[in-house]
Order: sequence, then C-alpha cells, then structure tokens
Amino acid sequence: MNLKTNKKGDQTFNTLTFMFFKVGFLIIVLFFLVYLYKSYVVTKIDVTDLEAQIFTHSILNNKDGIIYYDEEIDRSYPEIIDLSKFNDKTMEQIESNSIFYGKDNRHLAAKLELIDESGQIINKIVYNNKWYERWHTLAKTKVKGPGGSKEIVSSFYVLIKNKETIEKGFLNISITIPNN
Amino acid sequence: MKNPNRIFKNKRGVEQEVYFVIIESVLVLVVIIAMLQWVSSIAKDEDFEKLILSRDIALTMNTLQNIPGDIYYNYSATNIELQKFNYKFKDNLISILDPGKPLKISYPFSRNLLISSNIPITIEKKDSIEFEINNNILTIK
Repeated sequence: MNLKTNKKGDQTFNTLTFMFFKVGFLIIVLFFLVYLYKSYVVTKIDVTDLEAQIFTHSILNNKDGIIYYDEEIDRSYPEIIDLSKFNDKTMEQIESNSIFYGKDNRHLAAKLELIDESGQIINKIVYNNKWYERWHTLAKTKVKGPGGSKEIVSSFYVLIKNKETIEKGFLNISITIPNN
Repeated sequence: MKNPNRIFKNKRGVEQEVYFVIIESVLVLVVIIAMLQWVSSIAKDEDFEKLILSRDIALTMNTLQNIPGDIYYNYSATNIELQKFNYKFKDNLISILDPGKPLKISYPFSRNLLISSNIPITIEKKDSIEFEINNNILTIK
C-alpha cells in the first residue's frame, strides 16, 4: 500500500487540519462568551437563604410562638423554648396568625425539631404540613429551576423550659422553599 | 459536474475560499451585533429592577411585622429610582407595576394578622415608602 500522498492530497489535508483548529477555536470563543455572560449578566436573584433566616428569627422572636414569654413583665426570651408551647396547636396559631402566607401557603414550609442534650428528639412540629413533605422530597432531588425546591437546615443551641426546670438542648429548623 | 474537492486546488478555488472568509466575517459581525443588542436590551430592561424591588420589599415586610414593639422605617433605594413604579400591597402579595406596561412582577410576603394594617394599598410613584407600626397598627404610606 502506498501511504505517500501527492501534492494535491497534502493541500486538502492541510486545509482540513486548519479547519479543524478553526472550529476548535470558535468553540473555545463561544464557551468564553457564555462564561462572560454568566459572570456579568445577572437576570435572576435568589433570596431563599435570606428568607429562611428571616423566617427562623421570626419564629425565635415571636412571643405568641414557641418561646418563653413572661406576661407579667411583658418580656419574651428568644432562646428559651417553652416546652408546653412546643406543639402543633401553637404552630397552627403561628401559621394562621403571626406568619400567615395565605390560606394555601405555596411559598414556604418548615420542620422544627427540639432535641435534648443527649441527642434524643423531644418533639417535632411542622409549619405548613401540607407542603413540607413534598418540598422536602423535591429538595433531595437537587433539581434546579421551577419544579424543584431548596432546603435550608440550621441548628441552634437553646434552653428548654419544662415547667420550673430549664435544660440545655438544640433546635433544628429545616426550611423548604420551592424554586421560582 | 465539477469535483467539489477541487475548490481549494485552483485559482477559482482560491476565489471561493475568499468568498467563504467574507461570508464568515459577515456572520461573525452579525453575531457580535446581535449579542451587543441583547446585552443593551438587558441593561435597559426594568424587569430586573422590579424583580429586586418585589423581593426586597417583601422581605422588609416579613422582618418588620415580627419585630417586638413599635417601629418606623423609611424604605428607599440608592441604585433604583423608586418613583418609576407603583407598589400594590394586596393580601399577601407585593406587586410592582409600571404604569405604561401591562406586566407586573409580584412576590409573596407573610402577614402578621395580630397587627391590623391599611393593606390593600397602592403607593404611587414615590421616592420612598414609609412603614410604621404603632400600637399594633401597620401603616404603609
């Protein structure tokens, strides 16, 4: 077999090689333009983390919620959880009064877990029970964009007031927000 | 019929290659102009400003309503002209309206129903929005 190419063959080969590099270069330029676009042109803003923080602090500062509130001196204690108020009834009141997102809340859901010092769950309550499990499951899929959801988990060191005794514990808050 | 492989191999082939380069250059120019136009349209677009304002005002509402005690807050923005838009507070939604355009951008906020308020209300073309909570009454003006 004669592998030696003639002059015409050489020319065609050179042109094709040149074209190959040219296309490669164009692809690199295209990716660079996309990178520039992604870096400098912002068309979406994500406020879910901030929204979750505001929700958390609303729960932790709400005198009508789960924290200990001394009626006599009209003072609330944001980091002391009143065990007698840490129940579904209080959460329903929060949902329908102090943090009310409409009758069908399709914006935010949360789960609060009160844990004692040994790590045992004392009780858990859910804000917007109807949607929490759905969005929690969706968040696990890590789907981005509409149809997915985001879960923000935070843990706080708290004091748990059980009648006259106060014990150390933790409050885990898991907030799910559907993607826009 | 001419052999297509011959276009690069004779004088006519060289001419055709020049045409290809010209066409390619024109295409590149068209793409660059289209991209510049697109970026310019994004820069002029007010929807992004509406998007920011809707979220920012909704989060402000969420924060203010859960503060223990009374508060007065004057909301203004440094990079956005607030007076360009109207602000409609209704139920659990803040909508940013542009009087000349039908499209509005909304975002939900939470309500503290233990506080009475003057919602629904539309704030028209003001350079700042005032929020006041006094004796469990929220006033937006």
